[in-house]
Amino acid sequence: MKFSIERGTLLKAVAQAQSVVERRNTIPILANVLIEAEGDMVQFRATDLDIEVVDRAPAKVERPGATTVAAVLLNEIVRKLPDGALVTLADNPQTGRLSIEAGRSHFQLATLPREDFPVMASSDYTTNFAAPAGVLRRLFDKSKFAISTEETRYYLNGVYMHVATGDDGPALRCVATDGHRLARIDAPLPNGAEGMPGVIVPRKTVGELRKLLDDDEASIAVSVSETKLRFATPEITLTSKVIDGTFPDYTRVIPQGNTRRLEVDASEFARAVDRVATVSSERSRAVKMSLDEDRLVLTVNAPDAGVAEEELAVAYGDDPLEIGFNAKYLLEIASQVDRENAVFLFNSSGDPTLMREGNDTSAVYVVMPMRV
Amino acid sequence: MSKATTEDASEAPDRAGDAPHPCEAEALFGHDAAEAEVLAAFNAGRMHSGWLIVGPKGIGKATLAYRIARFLLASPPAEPAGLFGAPAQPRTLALDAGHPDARLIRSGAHPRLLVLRRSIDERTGRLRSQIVVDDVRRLRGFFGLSAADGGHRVVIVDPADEMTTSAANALLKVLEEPPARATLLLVAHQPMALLPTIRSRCRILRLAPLDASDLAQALAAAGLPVAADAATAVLTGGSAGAAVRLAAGDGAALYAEIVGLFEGLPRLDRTRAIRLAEACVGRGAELRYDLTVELIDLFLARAARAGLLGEPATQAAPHEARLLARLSPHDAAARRWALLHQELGARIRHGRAVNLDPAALILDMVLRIEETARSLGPP
Repeated sequence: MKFSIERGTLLKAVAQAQSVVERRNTIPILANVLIEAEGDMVQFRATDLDIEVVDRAPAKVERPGATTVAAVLLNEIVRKLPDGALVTLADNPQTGRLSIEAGRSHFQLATLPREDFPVMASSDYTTNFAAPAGVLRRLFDKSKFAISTEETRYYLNGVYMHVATGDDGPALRCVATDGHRLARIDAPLPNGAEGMPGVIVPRKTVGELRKLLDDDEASIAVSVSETKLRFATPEITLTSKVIDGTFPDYTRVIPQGNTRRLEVDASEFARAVDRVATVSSERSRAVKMSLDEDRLVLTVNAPDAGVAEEELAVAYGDDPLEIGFNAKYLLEIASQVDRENAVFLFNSSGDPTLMREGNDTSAVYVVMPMRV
Repeated sequence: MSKATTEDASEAPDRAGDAPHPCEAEALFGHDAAEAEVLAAFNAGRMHSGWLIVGPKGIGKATLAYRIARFLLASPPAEPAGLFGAPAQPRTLALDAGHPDARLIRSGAHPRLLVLRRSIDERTGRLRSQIVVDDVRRLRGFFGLSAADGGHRVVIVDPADEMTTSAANALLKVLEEPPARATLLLVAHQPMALLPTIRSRCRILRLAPLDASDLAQALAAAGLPVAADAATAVLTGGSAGAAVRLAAGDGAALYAEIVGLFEGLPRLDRTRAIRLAEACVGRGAELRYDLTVELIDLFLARAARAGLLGEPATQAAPHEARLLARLSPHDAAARRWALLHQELGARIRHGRAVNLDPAALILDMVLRIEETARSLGPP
């Protein structure tokens, strides 16, 4: 294998690929990136056995071939090379080393055979569709805060992506919950996504996927099967295992009959919650909301630290209500609102509360109250 | 080229000296019956999810576990019989070394295989002495995600004896409710020391010690320059791992020395006994100490057996048969030797636990043997 590539292009591709490589790795081959040169393209492939990232970049290939080399090392070397340099990578099957040349710099890196590198098969997808990056970004960004970190209920450690019937017809829906709060985000169902098996996308995959979704206009090719899923742009392909479990029936916990409606400016509300929560004890972080005719009082009473109170002008027309929440949950939910006012729908101080943005039901959040 | 072979020995708790790692060993010797049992279960579609592979150390339990793992990981998921009937059933567990799955297993990067063994303690940077509960909890992540390319998933615990109680309990949870198409292979030297709840959930695969010819083949296949004659098979209890140690400590000569010493019974040559004991003292003599204790232990066991069954079929040292016949001519003598064997075993374990002086411990053993020989009367 031998090819030449511009340093900036190489750095972008290698940096993206090596990000999935685990830092504390005991298995040598998994610390490596698989470099494959063919035609006028070079592929960089890295994996932690759960997620695989393939990055493609144009290059001048003199001799096609493939080898593997330490990912972090390669990234560091390329990063330190001068900008605009032309980098030549060539492997020597006799010495088993990869040489990197750029200007007067010359490196020889140890390699491992490509056959030892685990490659995720790219077949057997049952559903393929394309979705705009902006739509996917909204689906995952707005839901990922609710992903559980508790390992006993491992099936909650991800975002449940599936096909559902939303208020505006068929929808591609993402749901995440940790048992205390829940996020349900809908998007219009892309063509070809009908019949997609529901999959739970692991947290790490959601994080890696985010890097593909920065460009609003880009179209992402999504492929799904019962056991894995793939997101691809022309440059990057992300393949991941899915969580092997059944997501609980979340529809039961979304309250339908909540009628007491509170409307409040989300950012103002968030700032007020943040302020009063300062005195709350690290463990409980409980904030009490006292509602009366168009008036909301936020109170935190921490026995050993002190008391904080703040009053907000809101739209509320129902009977007075006192209800407590975890401040962190309120903040995270409020920060999801970006266009309109936040609308809370309460039932009683012991029932789950629903939150949405204005009258838009394509993004719905549920949060459990706390006893205060 | 492969880094696995240059790996620091401290990072591979499941490696024995210079011998190839069990995942690199291609052939397995002397365990055809066990293999056939696994294969029969697989072909009948009754592959049990938990297997406990038991037998003495160093006879190929881990090698068999990796062999089963390779076979399972490379077998495609079962499909309903098509137009041309079901595919032919496999007749062997062997898998070509160049097979992609075999290569991935060797490089330690097979996505559907998880090996639980002692890990490095990140605080001290040293290998732990046991498999801790955090090691076993990796199972949750392993089974929590789908098997991306379908097919079987395999977990090897090497060895299960090294698990702490809480680690064993964590494993129990998976053994009780294993996911579909998952197989756990537990390697155990002393199965009776495992939690009974673990034992009862596993199908037990008992491996017998290797005989001389299997031992010789196994050692040759491992590329170890160790002669394996009938005497070695006797001295090592049919364990290839023990044969490597025996050769390193020149165990055959040592055993001849011990037999030579006991030939003087019921009167021992004291100088010789002291020389034997002193050789076990000091730094660097640990292997000799271990071997001396083990071989005296073995001698007692053989003396007891000789009284019951008559002369052993194979001599492990010159004049051994004659000596055994003289020391242990009848059932009653055999009983005495067996009792002593048991008693000294317990003393040794205790002596080692409290770090007694090796020389004192060995002299004590030798003198107790002399005492017993005297009480049995003149030959």
